[in-house]
Amino acid sequence: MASDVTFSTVTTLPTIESSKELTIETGNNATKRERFMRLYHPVHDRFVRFCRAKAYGHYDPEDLVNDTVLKAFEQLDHLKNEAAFLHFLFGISRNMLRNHARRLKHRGEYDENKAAQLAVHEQRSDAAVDVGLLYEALNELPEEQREAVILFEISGFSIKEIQAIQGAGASAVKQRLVRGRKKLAELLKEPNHAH
Amino acid sequence: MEQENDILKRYFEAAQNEPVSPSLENIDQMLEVQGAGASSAPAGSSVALKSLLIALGAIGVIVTIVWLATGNEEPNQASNTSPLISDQSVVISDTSNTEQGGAPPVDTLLVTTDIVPSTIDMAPSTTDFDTVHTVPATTKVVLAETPETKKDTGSLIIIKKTTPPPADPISLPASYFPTPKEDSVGKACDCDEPEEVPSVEYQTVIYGDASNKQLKQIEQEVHNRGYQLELKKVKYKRGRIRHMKILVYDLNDEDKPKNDRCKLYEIEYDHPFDSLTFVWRYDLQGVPIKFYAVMTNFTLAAQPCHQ
Repeated sequence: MASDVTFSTVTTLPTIESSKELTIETGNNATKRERFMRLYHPVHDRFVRFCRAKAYGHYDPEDLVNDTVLKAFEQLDHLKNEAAFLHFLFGISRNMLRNHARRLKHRGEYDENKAAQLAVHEQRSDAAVDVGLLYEALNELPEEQREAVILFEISGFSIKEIQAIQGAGASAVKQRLVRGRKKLAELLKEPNHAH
Repeated sequence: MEQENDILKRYFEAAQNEPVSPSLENIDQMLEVQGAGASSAPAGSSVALKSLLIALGAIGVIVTIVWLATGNEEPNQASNTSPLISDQSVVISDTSNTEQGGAPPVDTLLVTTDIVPSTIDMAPSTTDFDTVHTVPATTKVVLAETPETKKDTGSLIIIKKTTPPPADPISLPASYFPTPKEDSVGKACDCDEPEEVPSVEYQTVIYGDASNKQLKQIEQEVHNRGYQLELKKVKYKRGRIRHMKILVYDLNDEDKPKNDRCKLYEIEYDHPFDSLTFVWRYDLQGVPIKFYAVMTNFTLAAQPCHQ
C-alpha cells in the first residue's frame, strides 16, 4: 500500500497574498464612504477632542474614535436625516463608552492607561500636565455637565450643536455649562488638582 | 466669576491645542479598507496597526485544513502553520523545500468552502462550491464578495494529496527526493526501531478571531474525530471571539462527570497572538496513533483516549 504513496509531504501552506483584491471597492461602498466623509469631515477635529476628554482613563481615545467611526459607517444606511448626524455619531461613542465601562466592572482594578499616565507624569510638558489635570477634574463632574463642558469648551461646538448632540433644550445646556464650569474651577483650585 | 474664568482658560486652551490623532486621512484609509469587506476592527493602539490588521485579518476567517498525506512525515511538520486566509483571497502554493531534500510538490488540491456567495478564480472557473474541486496546487482562490450579499466569514477546507514521484528519478534533480534511510533501500529492514506506520493526518485549524458560527464548524470537525469540544472563559471583541479556553473530551464520556472524563487537551487561545491546530493522526485502518495540539509557540502531544 505504501509503495505507491511513498514520500512524506512537508506541510504545504497557502500563503497570504498581499494582493490588490483586498482593496477593491464596490461602487456602493465608495458612494457610502464619500457620503460618510462628507458628513464626518467638518466635525473630525472636534470629535477627536471630545473622545480624548471623554475617554480619559477609561478607554484608549484613538480606539474610541476608530470604533465609533467604524460603527457609524456600518450603520450609516440607517441615518435618514443627515441633520441628525451629530446626534448619531456622538450617541454611538457614548454607547461605546457605556458598554466598555460595563465590561470593565467584571475585570480587575488595574488600569494600564492610568498606570502609564502616572509613570510619565513627571516628564510631561506644563501644557500636557494641565490637560491631564483638566481631564481628571472633568471625570468628577456629573455626566451631562461633563459632556456639555467638553463639547463647548474643548471641542468648540455651539450651544445649538450641543442641543442637537445631547437632545436637550438651550436652557438646559446653558445650565449644565454654568454648573459644570463652576464645579470644575473649584476642583482645579484644590491643591491635589492644581500644581 | 472672573477668577473662575482665569483658572479655566489656561486648562481649556491647553486641551484645545492638543494635536489631533487619528488624522482624517487615517480615518479615510480605514473606511476604504472597511468598504472593501472588512467588518471588524480589532483593538490596537495605533491607527496604522489597526488598518493593517483590518486589511490582513480582521475578517477573522476560520480556516479548516484537512490534509491527507501518507508516508513518513514527522508529526511536528504539522506545526508549521501560518496565516492561511486573508480578507478575500487565498493563494494556495506549495512551499515544500525541495532544494533541501524535501518532499515532492503537492500536485493536486481538493478545495471546498462554505463561504457563499464566492467566486473562485481558478481554472476551470467556477462559482459552484457545493462540490469539491480538484485543482492544481498553485491555484489562486479568490473569495470575492458580491455587492449584493456581504459575506465575510466561513471556512475553507483544503485537502491535499500527493502522488508518487515519476518512476524515473534521473529526470529530476537529486534534491527532489528526501534522503532515503539506509535500511529501507533494497532489503528488508531488520533494525530494532519499528517501521513507521503509514498514516493519515487531519488538521483542524483555528485562525483569526472566530465567530460562534465558525466555532460550530470546528466543534463538528472535532466531533467527527470522536471528541467533544468545550469552550470556557470566552471573551468577545466586537462580536468576535478574542480569547477562550478550549477543552477537548472524549465523546464516549459525555455522560460521565467532568472529573472522570478523558481529557485530550486543555488550551487557552488568544487571538491575535495564537493560531491553533489540532492534528489527528490515524493509521490506514483508522486506528488513532497520536494526536497533537499545535499552538503558535508550542506543541502539546496527547494520547488518544481509550486506545
